[in-house]
Amino acid sequence: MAGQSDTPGWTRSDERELHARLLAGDPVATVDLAERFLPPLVRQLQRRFPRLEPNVVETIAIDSVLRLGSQPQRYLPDRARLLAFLRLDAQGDVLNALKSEKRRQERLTSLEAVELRSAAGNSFVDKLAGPESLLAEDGEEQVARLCEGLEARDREVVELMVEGERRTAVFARALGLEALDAIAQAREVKRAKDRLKARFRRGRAPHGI
Amino acid sequence: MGSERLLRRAAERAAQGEVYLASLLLPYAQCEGLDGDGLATRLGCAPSALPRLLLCRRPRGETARFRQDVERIATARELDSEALANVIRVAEALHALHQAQPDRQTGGWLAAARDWEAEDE
Repeated sequence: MAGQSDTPGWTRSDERELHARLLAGDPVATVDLAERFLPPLVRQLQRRFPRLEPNVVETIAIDSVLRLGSQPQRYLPDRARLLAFLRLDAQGDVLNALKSEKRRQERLTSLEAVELRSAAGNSFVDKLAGPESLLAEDGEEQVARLCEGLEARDREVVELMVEGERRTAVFARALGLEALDAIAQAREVKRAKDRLKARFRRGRAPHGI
Repeated sequence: MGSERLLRRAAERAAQGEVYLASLLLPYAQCEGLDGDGLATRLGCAPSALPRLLLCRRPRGETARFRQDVERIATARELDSEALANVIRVAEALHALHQAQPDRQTGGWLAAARDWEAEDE
């Protein structure tokens, strides 16, 4: 392992030279850093965290490389190879992303249950035992009334929320946000959900409620 | 192919800080109404060369060092150094103006980066 490079053709000496250029403020050294180390870093993180969405892994890897480019003094060549440093630096963000997503989903699930109950009446969520309950006449009527006046994409979001969907990527596809990176997708999905919840709270849900 | 896409994404992310040329040139392009091709034309490079240019570190402010950095970037990216220096100076001036704007303008800078990255996909 010692002396072995994960970037083919790059020796420890090459890495030290690049690091020295970064420290000296060579304006093109950051490009060499990204070109050489971003692809293998992404591959390593994807192998290590296969359940993470590829988009999220890429964003975290990119941020790690950009951080090193802007603060090269953080890396100490005597302590680790450069790719190993980037991988360790990125892993902190990965773990934070996993924890953050888990907390956010837990909050949204409890909030959605409360909001849907207040928007649709006290019986809807109580009756909602699982997706199959939507097949019941009452469930379908409730969803249809929630969706009155909504655009197609918003209707799809409401239906996903009612079904208990948690994955940001699924909501992002429904909203046509695939082109955005993971963090922007999460932000825009949350914004769409909050907008719909606010709409229901303002009483534009089914008449009689 | 995957590496090129990664570099484009990296250039987009680099617009969010103050370190990389992306943070100057992408908002500049939006202000000037330029898409990726337009920015490349103004800089005198191929559109495919933009990500690597945008990932260069911003030239440092002092005159002599600024010139040295611009020359270094221009040589490495095969650009005309005068044209590059002029664009960077204008972009810096716009950036300074933006920093004096109300906070509501901030989103526009990030939107510039997203627009550039999305337009060719």
